[in-house]
Amino acid sequence: MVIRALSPSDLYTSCDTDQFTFATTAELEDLPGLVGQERALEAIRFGTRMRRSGFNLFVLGPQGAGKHEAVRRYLAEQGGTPPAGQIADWVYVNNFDTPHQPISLKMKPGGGRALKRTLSQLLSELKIAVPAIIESDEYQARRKAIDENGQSKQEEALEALRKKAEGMDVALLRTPNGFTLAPVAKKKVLKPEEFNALPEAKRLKIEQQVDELQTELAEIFEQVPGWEKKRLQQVVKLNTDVAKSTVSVAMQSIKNTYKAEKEVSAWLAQVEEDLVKHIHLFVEAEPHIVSQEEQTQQALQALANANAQNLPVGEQGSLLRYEVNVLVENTADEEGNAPPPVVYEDHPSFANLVGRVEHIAQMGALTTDFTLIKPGAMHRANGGYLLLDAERLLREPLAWDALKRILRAETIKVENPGDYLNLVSTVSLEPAPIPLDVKIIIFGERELYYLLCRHDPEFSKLFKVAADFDDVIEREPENDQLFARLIASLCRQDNLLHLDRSAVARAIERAARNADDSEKLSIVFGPLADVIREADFVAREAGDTLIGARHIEAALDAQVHRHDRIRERAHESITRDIILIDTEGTAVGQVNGLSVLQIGDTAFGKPSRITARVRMGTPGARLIDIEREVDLGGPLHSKGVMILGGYLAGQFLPHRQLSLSASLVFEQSYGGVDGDSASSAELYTLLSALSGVPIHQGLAVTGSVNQFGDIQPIGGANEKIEGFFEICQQRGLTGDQGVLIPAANVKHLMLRQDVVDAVERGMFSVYPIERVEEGIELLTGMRAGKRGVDGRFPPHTIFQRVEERLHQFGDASAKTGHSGSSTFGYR
Amino acid sequence: MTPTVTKAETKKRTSRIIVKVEQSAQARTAIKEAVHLATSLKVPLMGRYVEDTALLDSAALSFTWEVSHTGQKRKITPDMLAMDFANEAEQAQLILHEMIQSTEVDWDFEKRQGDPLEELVHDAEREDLLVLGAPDVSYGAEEISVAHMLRDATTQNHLDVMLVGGVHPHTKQSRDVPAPQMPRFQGGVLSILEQLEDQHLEARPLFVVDDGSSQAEICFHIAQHLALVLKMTVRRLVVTTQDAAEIASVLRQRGAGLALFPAGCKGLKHDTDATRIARHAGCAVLFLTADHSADALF
Repeated sequence: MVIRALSPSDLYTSCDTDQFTFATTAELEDLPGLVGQERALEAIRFGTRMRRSGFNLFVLGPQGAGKHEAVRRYLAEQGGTPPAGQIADWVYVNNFDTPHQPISLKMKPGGGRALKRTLSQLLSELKIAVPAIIESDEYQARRKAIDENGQSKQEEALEALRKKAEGMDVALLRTPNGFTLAPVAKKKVLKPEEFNALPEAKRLKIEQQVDELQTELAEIFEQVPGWEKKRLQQVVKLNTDVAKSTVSVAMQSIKNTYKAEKEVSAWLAQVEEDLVKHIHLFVEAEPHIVSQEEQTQQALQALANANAQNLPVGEQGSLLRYEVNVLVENTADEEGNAPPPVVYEDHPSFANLVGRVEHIAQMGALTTDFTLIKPGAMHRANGGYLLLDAERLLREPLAWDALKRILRAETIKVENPGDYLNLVSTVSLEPAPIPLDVKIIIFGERELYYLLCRHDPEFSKLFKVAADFDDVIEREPENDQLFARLIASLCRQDNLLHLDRSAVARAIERAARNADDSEKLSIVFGPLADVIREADFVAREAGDTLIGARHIEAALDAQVHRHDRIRERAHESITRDIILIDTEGTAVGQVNGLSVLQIGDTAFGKPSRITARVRMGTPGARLIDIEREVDLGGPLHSKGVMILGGYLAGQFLPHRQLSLSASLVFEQSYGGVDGDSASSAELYTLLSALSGVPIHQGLAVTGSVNQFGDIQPIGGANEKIEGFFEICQQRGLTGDQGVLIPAANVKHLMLRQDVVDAVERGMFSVYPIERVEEGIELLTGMRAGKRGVDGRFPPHTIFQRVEERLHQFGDASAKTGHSGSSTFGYR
Repeated sequence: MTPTVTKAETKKRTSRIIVKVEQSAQARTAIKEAVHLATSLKVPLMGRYVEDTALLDSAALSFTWEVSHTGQKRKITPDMLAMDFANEAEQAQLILHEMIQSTEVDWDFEKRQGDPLEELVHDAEREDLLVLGAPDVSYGAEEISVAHMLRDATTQNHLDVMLVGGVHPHTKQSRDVPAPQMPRFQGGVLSILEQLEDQHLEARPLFVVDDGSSQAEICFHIAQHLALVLKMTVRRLVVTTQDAAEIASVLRQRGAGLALFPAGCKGLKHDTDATRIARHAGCAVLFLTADHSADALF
């Protein structure tokens, strides 16, 4: 069986520049939209137009696939315009009955700001009109009449008492705390000695008169509160009459403007009623002189009153009760229509999503009111689209739960996180919920989407539309052209130098390498865009006006070089014989396997020595995977090893128990090993160990194997080949070195130019392998052997030697008296 | 009342302000106006508190009681009253101190016994300016007493007296804040031309009440100097009426910050007209004697 090495053309599929009719990408038109994402775009189209509950979108795909851009562009260009009437402004206003439950009002687009302006104008008018009316002759006359009427009662009563007392030669005198009555003579208060000098009868009479007058005086003062109350009632009635008239006139046009909007009209009626009640807010009291202590007391009292009503303190603050807090504002065109809002929330924290109630520190206490309600992204996107990143959303505490709750309830309720968790029970605001009509579009990676599907039962009900962005497209001439236009768009968008044809071809080849497939192109454009941006930098540094293939190469090399330190160290440890890898000679039970190390954005191949030792075992013997025994082997690797047991038993001793004890190990591997891509190498090692036939160490092996001996494709073929090539190259290529890869991986090859060149020179080979027999023959130079009609393998073949060895183990095991019934297995 | 100064030949200039201090709201306002004036004129200020001996005498009688403003009766004794006086004096001094501490006014406080109004005038020099609160309500004797004291102080003692009533309780007007001016025309007190001028007032004006006398003319000249110091504008209010209520109403409506009356103004028919105007004008009212030179109050 002769296995032919792959030709250089099999190792790298170049892009034919002759297919391009342009000289540079400057000649190409922009490419609107994306390449090869029809399925995802169709889902976006459906999801954005479907305005039913739960039909929210999850846009899944790898990073850099242009998911954000695709959705934004679609929404901007093609609409998803919701039915009329859904775009609205939302405002919060004071609830005059229960101030801690602010009222939400829905307004037409632009209406929120207009209402705020209208109320502001109303207050300005009243600030002028009310004092003017209070100053008016008519009001002053009526007020004066009331005051004087109230005052005169007291004055008249006191005056009558004074006159009565005067007639009795008694004076009414002021004391620091009130009044007193004293006998007088010749308009002078009698001194005690003068009074005592009076006849007794006179003294007694005066005492009796003073006593009566004192009683009358007390009765007068006892009536004062009643008079004052009546006076105040009259003043209140006067003020109410004046206020009603003033406010009614001032609000007439406003009420007419909003009469069609029932909720707003109802609130304006409350405003009117409250303005009448609080008309005094528009007339500042004369500042009077108070001590510092009194000022503090007044401030504390004001704060307490304000807290009780959830309203700001101070004279200016009192008028805030008529403020309009415009929560959501949309701009309408001349016909009153507004485009649906498209909101991307970069930081989807709980508060940024559902809004928050802010507080102000006043005199050591935190106070709040409806003007401090701030909107969240849900408010701003209401009636339109809210774009969120799944990973960021899930990282934010409470945000995911809050989002789901809002979508379920279809209303947005502004809550503080403490209230949401029922952790605090302080008096705060309970703003009225706002009806929600928003389309949520979440972006995330596939893994996250499927995790949510599996672990969150609500997820599938709330996000019924999945827009799955593909990673790759077919590499065919038509797509090459589209790719070139995509590059042209990038150049224009980022103001980069344009690419000539060779650079475009190199970029396309790189896209194929990124796809790990010579027949596909990766449409995860982000990494390639970065290469082109770096190539632009290189070209500009060199003073060139176009990006050529060499600039792309330079950019790629530079990217590799920047991340190359670990690869260099890993390979150096092999070339310095610290990690033992033979690239020449032969050895029994030893083969070069290949693995890929992924570190950050870079991946490179690294050879590992795989060895096997065999000995007689008990029937139902063990195949020891040392990696697994020490917990360094992953489940896929273990699975690969178990398959080997199946192959050996089926291939060599279908009618007899295996009495084999074998151990397999990745030598000098101190990290974990996973994947089954080394299972064919492990099988070759076992076969070599059992047959005693040495394996050529200039070859390295990759590929998985099934129980029937078929070699199956693996990932990272390019990196693995390049990794082994580099070691051989550093030690000096002999011409006998090469790599065995699964034949199914040939179409994935997009190898580096130096590898291709070495193959072309005959200094390195890549062999496509389909069956174990092909691989073992190539590695040992001995025929594998095919079971003949007699049921035996031909002599001097690998398989004959293996079978014979296994029989020897079986016989020896039987002689030692082992008669277990277990079959060949794995532990 | 003891006249201490006879009319002199020389023209006087104000050299000291004496303010009657108490705890009442009117007294506080009076103190504030006195401090403002003393600061502006750069003259010393004397706060004077007087313990009423008539009250002390009455308290010594076994049958006299004190009736509070809430109608509570309490037996008082001279000792209790003396203690009340002491407390009130202390509080009054404190009020004065609080108001004056941020100024550079040279000030003093004294406590006396006797008749409160007589003691205010007693020992006063003709260059002194007396400041006291106008009675808040007309409790007959008190208003009459103040009115008589004003009459005697200005005519017999040749003292200038300022009565300070409460500014209008229903407006936010004060001397420092321009009052809202609304177009308003009425006949009788002012000429139309003067009313139109007043629509453009930017600050509260100082009004000189002109009864057509030569003394009023002197007042007007003094007012011009005073207005410069107080940063006010001067307006002349020609009175053609003897109705004190109407004069007070005009002053209040025009947003007067200070009103200057020639003592014995023809517009003041009754003794109590002065106190009534002071109570209702919404500003302090200064009654100037005829002894000032035409160019200066100070």
